[in-house]
Formats: sequence, C-alpha cells, structure tokens
Amino acid sequence: MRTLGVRWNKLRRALINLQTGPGAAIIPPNVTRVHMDFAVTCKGGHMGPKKFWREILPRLKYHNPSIPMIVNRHRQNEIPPKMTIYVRNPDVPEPSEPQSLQQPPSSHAGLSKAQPPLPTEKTIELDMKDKHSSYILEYFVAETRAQVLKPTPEQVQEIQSLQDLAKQGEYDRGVLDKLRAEKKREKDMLARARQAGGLSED
Amino acid sequence: MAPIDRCMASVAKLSLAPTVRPSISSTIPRFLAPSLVQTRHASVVKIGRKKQVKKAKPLSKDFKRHKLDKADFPQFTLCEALRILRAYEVGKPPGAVKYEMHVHLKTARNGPVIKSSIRLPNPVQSDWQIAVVCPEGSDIANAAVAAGAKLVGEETLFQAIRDGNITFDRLICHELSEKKLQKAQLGKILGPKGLMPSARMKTVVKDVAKAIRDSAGSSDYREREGAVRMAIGQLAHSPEQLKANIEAVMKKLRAQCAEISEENPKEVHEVILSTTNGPGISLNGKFRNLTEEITPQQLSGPM
Repeated sequence: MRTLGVRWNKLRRALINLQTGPGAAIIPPNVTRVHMDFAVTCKGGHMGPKKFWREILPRLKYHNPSIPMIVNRHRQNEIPPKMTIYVRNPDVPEPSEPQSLQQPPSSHAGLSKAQPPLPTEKTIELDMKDKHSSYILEYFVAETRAQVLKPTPEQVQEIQSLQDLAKQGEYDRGVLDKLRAEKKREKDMLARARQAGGLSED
Repeated sequence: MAPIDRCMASVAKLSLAPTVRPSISSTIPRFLAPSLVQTRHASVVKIGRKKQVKKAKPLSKDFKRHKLDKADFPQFTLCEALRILRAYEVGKPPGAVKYEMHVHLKTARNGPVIKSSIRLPNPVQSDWQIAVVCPEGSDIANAAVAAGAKLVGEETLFQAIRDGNITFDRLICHELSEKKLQKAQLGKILGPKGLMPSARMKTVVKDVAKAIRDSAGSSDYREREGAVRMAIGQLAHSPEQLKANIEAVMKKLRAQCAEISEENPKEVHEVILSTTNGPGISLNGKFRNLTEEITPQQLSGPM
C-alpha cells in the first residue's frame, strides 16, 4: 500500500490541474449546452479539437458541472470538426415549463450528432479544422463571454509548493542515481577482477 | 516365441563391441591416487569477508493501515467527489466508464475473507449471460430458459467449457446435476474464473428460475489483499442513486464484518471512490456540505 503522502501529493496535482490553468472559466447561465464533433484520429486538421477535449474541457466541466458537454467522435476525417454552442435566445420568451433535452450522451462511434436547437435556443458554430486548442478556447470564451478565473492566492501557493516538491524530487533523484551508479561501478569492478584473477568468494 | 527372442537379443548384444572407457580404477586403485580424486583447496585464495545476509523483515500479521485522521488526510463529500470525477470523464461514452468503489479493511493477512454478492438498488450491469447446469430436456431446463438462461444442459455444456468456449458470465447448477458436475472435473477451468458453482456461494440451488432472477441484477465482490473492490454505478447515475448503492454495500459489508469477527476482527477503514480514468478520492461519509454551491441536480443528467 502506498503511503498517505504519496497518495495525497498525486491527488493534489490532479486537483490543482483541474482547478487552474487554461479553461478555468465560468460560463454564463444563458449557455445551455456545448457539442463537439470531430474524428478519432488527428488526420485532416482534427488535432486541435482532440487536444481541447483532452486538456481543456475537464476544467470547463469542473467549473460548470451543470452544462452538458457532449463529444461525438467518428471515423470520417474528411468532415471538418465542428463545435456547436447552444445559447438561450433572448428574443423568444422562456416557456413556463422546462423542456427536456433530447441529447444522446457522448459517443466514440459517431452516434451523438449535434441536435437541432430547441425553439428557445440559437446556436453558435465554429469550424475547428486546423485550429489550435488555445485558439478554440479563445473563441469559446469570447463568444460565450465566459468569466476567466485567475488562481486565488491559496492556489498560487499550492502551485508554488508543488513546483518546489518537483524540484526537490529532481534533486533527490539525481543524488540517488549517483549513489546507485557508484555502487554498480564497484560491483562490476569486483566482478571483473574476480574473472581475471581467479579469485573466488567461497 | 519368447525364449527365442530373448536368445537372439543376447546374441546381438554380444556382437556389438562394447566401447572401452578409460577408467582410473582399472589401472591404479582408487586409494593409491588421492591427487586425482581429491580437489585441492589450499592453493585457492579465499576472500575473508563473510557475506552479510540481511534478514528480511517478517510481514506484519495485519495489513498496514495508515491513520487518516492523524495525518489529516483530506476526505471529500460524495458531491465534491462526483464533481471532480465527472470533470475527468467528460466526453467519454457512458458505456465505457463506471464508478468503482474500494473499501479498505482493517484485517489480518490470513483468516476468512469476505465474499458475497449483492443486489444493488441501481444495478451497474443487468444483462448478464447466465448458463444453467441441469438435466437436459427436463422441466427444470425449460423453466431456466424461460427465466432467461442462455445455455442449458449437462454434457454439452461441460464439453463447451472444456473446449474453452465460455460465452457466459455466470454459472448456476441445479441440485440434481451437482454430482455430474463434480465428476466432470471442471474445477481447474472454472475455479480461477470464479464460475464454479458451490452451495456456499448459493449457486447450487433448487429453484433455478429464482436464482437466475436474483443473479441477473446482482454484482459479486470479494476481499483481496485486505480490500473489497467493485463497480458501484454507471456514469449516468445521479448522486442520489450512487448514494443508495454505496449505502447498500456498506451496510452489508459492516454486517459481514461483525459476523466474522470472533478471532479475526474486521473493520472498515477507508472508502475510496474512483472512475475508470479518474483519480481515487477518499470519501468522508457525508452526502454534501451545505456550504457547497454545487447541487446534486447539477451533477446529474447528461455529461
């Protein structure tokens, strides 16, 4: 069983990575859902959206747990990757009873196509072909007017302490590597001497 | 015929010239030539350092359990944990991801282990493929098929298992066929897969249809290395559903720990919730903090 320190430091890294960094932003309540459609493989300009999903979308999801973020991946690389943002339409009055979303869950087999918007919604679309993940985030933040979160002083301190920990780890690893190399050198030397001189240990 | 054969063999043996091996004892008696028999040790230089044999520390009788409260190890409420885990699983197809629970027990390394199955309030997987060992063509077999068994039979089923053609996840045996199953000697194949029916696991039964119904929505668990690990929910479950599942399992585990604890006391030490790709998060037993701004409604529904 791993010690508590090892477990906690690993979880600390996972948590701070989720809470801060690119994508840590609060999306305003008029955004109802986000849909991404891209291929499983990168060929044909699908790398940016994939990276966006892998690296940035978890942070957006952490800070906006109630907004469905659907990812639909397929094998047709020739279809340009597309992001659809569903926004509440201010021109249409809000219906009295909330409508149920007819949105299939995320799929890796192309089964979750972007649905047509509800009558109270309008869509914003982005062609993500050949776009970098950071560009996609910039566009997303600008279009939805999301409020980007800066790390709080405690979080800055946490990041700093994790960096210190990593530095110390690097140093310790170097020291131990040297020690191990020295031991191995001595052992090899002894073995060589034994082979050449016919000395035996027992 | 036999005597002649034997005679011929001896003649053939004589005709083959035996290979002559040089042997010392034939020329010089063994006791007269010690230098050839003995090996000399005096000329070999020994290194005079004794090998220091490090004694391996004996394993403690109990599994090591760290004191969580002393270390102030952070634990989370269920809603906090779900928020983190759902963020890690964003955009993953729900069929590929499950919530899993690890219960660390304070327990001795040897002794009885906890092993059972439970019917979860919200089943993780309900489409198990079940096979039934029972007399072929009987009423029991018909009842089993009606209850949803995929394979039914005795010898045909045994042959399929021997051929490595196992297309089911659960195996139930009727009492009448138990002897035949034991004679078939399938323990070597079925044992390691955990499929071998036994009365203790309640897979050798009288009422096959009822057993199938019970087994269909239930999930097995067992203690390995002092921990019980099992799938506890689907990604689509809401926090309340997950809470019901966790509570059901913990209640049963606690009861089993209390039952077993005459000589080997067992106790629940820590409960860890995780997902297929997410980190493991230690739970503190509460559903949610009232100060949290995240509500359970926000954590349910499509991802």
